[in-house]
Amino acid sequence: MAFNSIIYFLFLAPSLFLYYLLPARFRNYFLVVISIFFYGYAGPQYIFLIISLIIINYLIGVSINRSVNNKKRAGYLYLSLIINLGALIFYKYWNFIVENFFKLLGWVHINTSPTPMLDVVLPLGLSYYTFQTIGYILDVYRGSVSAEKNIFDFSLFTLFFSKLPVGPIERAGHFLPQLKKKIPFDTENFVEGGKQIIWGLFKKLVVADRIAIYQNTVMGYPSEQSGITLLVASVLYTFQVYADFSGYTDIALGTARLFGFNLMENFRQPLFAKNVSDFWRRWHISLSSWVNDYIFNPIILKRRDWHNLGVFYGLIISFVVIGIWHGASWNYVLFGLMQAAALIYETITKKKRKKISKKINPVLYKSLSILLTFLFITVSLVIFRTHTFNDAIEIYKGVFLNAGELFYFKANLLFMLAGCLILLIYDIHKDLKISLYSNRSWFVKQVSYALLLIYILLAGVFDGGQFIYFAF
Amino acid sequence: MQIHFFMESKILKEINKIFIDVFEDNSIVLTEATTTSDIEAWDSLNHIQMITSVEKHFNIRFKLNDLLNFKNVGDLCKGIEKEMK
Repeated sequence: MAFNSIIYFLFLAPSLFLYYLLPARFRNYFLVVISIFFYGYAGPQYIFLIISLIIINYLIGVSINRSVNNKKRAGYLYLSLIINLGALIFYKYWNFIVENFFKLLGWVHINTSPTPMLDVVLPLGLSYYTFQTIGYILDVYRGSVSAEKNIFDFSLFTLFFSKLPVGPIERAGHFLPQLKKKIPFDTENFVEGGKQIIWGLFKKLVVADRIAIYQNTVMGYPSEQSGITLLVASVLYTFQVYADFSGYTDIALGTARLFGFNLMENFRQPLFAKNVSDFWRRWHISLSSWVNDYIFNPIILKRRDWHNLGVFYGLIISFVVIGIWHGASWNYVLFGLMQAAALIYETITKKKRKKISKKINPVLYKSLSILLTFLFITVSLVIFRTHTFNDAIEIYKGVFLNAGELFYFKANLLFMLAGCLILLIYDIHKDLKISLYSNRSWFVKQVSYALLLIYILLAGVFDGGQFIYFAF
Repeated sequence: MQIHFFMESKILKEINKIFIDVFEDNSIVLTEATTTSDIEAWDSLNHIQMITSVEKHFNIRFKLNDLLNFKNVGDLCKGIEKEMK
């Protein structure tokens, strides 16, 4: 049930109606039931897996909380890590590991029988909810949150349907307390949640899926495209991924708001990042902050005697994890390594860059920094998009070597550019913290959203298919 | 209670000097509520430099779990006090 489908809204409307109709004490149970239905609609075969993981992690969390013996607590923690990462590795990385292991054997001339591959589909949301659960168990282990004792609330922490398929990867300290509050019917939640859903639909249907039409045509046959076409398609891909993923997130956050919940922010105008480290503070924040808190910080603090080398080591490990989290492919590893290299460079040159910035006009320096960061992200996303390293090289080479004119469809181009422009204007006004609507009347505000809705109906691609991040 | 307060303010004064040294900023005036967002230069690299300088100065070694739970300078002071006991 994709968030951009009619069936999703047919599911959402009666769910909301019944939710507010029910007495407050039954609402969380109701959300657990409809979330299981939502999950089962995508693939009933994995309901058993997710419910088993919920029960196991619930028991482990409570056991860590109760135990005073440090060895036992560590034992429970490792058990949870083995089970959660085991499930993730089995479904997501097993074939990749086996394939590379047998390739390695082939390189050292050890002949084996054909590679034994598993025929499994990645369960919906597994990468998101295993990370969320590991974060919860680590928080309980560190003592920063108490274990959740109510199994229904703990189930909802994992299952809540608006964040289950593609996040945000929530934190226990942020989401669980919200489940304890009585949520009254609040029109503001409805208005704000509704607006965020409309904005998310705009990003997905008008911006991302319009670009996808161009993108799929061009990148399907990169060797036949001119350099300028490949360059434009690469730049547009950055907009596409951003609009697609943040559009999904807006619908997820907006939906949660309709039910009275606030999910964590996942994007903060990333296209206006001033450097790569700034980009990762603005892009997929729920994943980057997770990696920061549970991988990067423990590594650099444990290796603090290594000084700079400890930080570089932490950056490499963290970004390889971020890269490979997206999927079992060497291209994702390379994508992560590129980010780590950029961040190491930025760490080393921080003082020098600050000195340079003082000698240059601040507006010019900021603009150049944003442009360079955007270019770096665009270049690295070529690797992210392609399946093999050679495919990426073909595009890089093509940009400089392939002669020819820009390929475009006239009808699509206008909608595509107008969509990107509206997205940029919206982000600029949020980034600079100025409200374009602050002095306008209520009427103007509502009309602007009504116009956006009309624009979605006019320019939206309604058969654009699934969100990119569903695959991760 | 008074002794505890005296200890913490003494620690705060001493780590203020370390912060000025590590972050190369003479204007730093720490309070217990100071966090990473209050000091522009407080990045990962400076953070571990500050932690190792504090450990060297007080001749202590923090536990990893305590380091991960520090939310502000007040937590850092309590951590120092705990290790010095």
